[in-house]
Amino acid sequence: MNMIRLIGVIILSTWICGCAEKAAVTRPVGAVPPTTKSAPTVVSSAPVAAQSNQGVVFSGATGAPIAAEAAPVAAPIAAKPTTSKRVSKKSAPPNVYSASEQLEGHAKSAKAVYGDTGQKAEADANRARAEAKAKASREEGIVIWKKSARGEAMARAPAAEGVVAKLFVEVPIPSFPWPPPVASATAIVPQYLLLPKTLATSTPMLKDVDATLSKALDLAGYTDKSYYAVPQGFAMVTRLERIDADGTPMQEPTRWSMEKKPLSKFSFSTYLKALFTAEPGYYRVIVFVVTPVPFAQKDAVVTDADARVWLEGGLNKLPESIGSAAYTDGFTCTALVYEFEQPATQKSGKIMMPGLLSGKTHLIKARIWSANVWEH
Amino acid sequence: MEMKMVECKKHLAVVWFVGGGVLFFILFLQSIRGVYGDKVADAWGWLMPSIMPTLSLMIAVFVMDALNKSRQVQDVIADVFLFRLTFYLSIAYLVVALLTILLQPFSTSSPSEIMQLSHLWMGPFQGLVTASLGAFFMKNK
Repeated sequence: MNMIRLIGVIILSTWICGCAEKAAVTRPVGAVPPTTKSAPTVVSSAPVAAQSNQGVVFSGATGAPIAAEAAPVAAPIAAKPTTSKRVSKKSAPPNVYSASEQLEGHAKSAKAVYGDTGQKAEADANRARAEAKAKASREEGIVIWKKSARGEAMARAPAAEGVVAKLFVEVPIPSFPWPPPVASATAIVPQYLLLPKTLATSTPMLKDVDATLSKALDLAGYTDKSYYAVPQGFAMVTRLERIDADGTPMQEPTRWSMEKKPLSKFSFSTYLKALFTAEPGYYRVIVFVVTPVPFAQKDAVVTDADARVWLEGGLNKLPESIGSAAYTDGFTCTALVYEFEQPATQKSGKIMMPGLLSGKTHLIKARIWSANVWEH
Repeated sequence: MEMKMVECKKHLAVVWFVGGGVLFFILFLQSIRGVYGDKVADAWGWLMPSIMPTLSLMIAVFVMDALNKSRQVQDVIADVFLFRLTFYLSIAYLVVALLTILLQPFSTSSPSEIMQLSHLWMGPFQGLVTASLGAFFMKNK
């Protein structure tokens, strides 16, 4: 009976040892065989990017952060710890061993040193040391990953800011002539009209003013506009439009045409009037200047060609760098109306100084002042 | 059908003086009303070469006829075909010149631009009219 128990114990212990050895072979992380001292000490937990970029597997503390700095976009992937199973043999240099190769080498070296049957305890001790080393390596890898994640996060934040800053650098904001050229008429848009009631209590920004102005202009038919930078604010330029002598915009498409308006509806009286009178064309450009800086208008002559260039030369939207600025009580929205008269015999007009109408009348006739958006 | 040369000359003179007078009067009113602005000289520079040579020729012929009151001159028979050709060409030319002014309100171009442009069709037309007028006055039966 004791003999049977002894045999059973031996078989059981042999089976347990076999299982343990199998488990050690399939373990993803490996240890360096004692005989391969020239090989890297740790082959695990290395970032994929580091492997692919540098061709060897590193687990040094600087590997991942360097990868993160070199390629911040790929850093989240690069910093992720991976197992050695994902390491391609083709990509590994000759002096780098995979985990299975190292374990196999370890077993061979143990056999060579201690023999197949003896000194199992020593082999187990070596295996335990290798496992401990592998565990330490895994922990180190996690630390590296954490470090690299932090580094990536740190590297990424300034990179994002840099991209934003770079955008604003690469797309310079054109400046409106400052001080502005003297206009035919001027009007101050009351501050209470510029902001919706919902923003009256909060901290409004310049983009809120821009939104209100844009909505009022859209309702009045001004779909084309461009933005310029002025000191501490912005200027919004509308498209050169053809108007009647009383400031009422003409119907489209005549409104936006610089060509002479032909007689569209025939009647004898209108025909005789058109034949024997020279009706000049009137044109208008409105520039809204939103700035807390007081200004006097510069004594410079503006031509209708200048006004056309204004629309083409500005930005299509208010830049965030200007729009995010706070709109305070010190700001003033000034509407500068540049009115041009084009004689029937000429292709270009000249500015009317002073204009026939007041600035407020221009805004009312243009349906900007009376736009529903002002009512909120 | 035979027509005396004197009668034919009178018919042509009526056409040219009436047509030229209408053109002159319209341009005069437009100039007074400032339709041409500072380009009024260009407008008159367009009208005068268009009608004045023919009118001057007619005046000269009439003066010569008035000075030469011999019976032989009064009885000269005109070439009817040539007279009709000259007559209708003159009417057509003056109508085209008149339309150049009267259609200005329907154009997107300025009046002075239209006048400059009209040289394209007025020039050849004027050549035809002048040639037929010269042939008519020179050829007598």
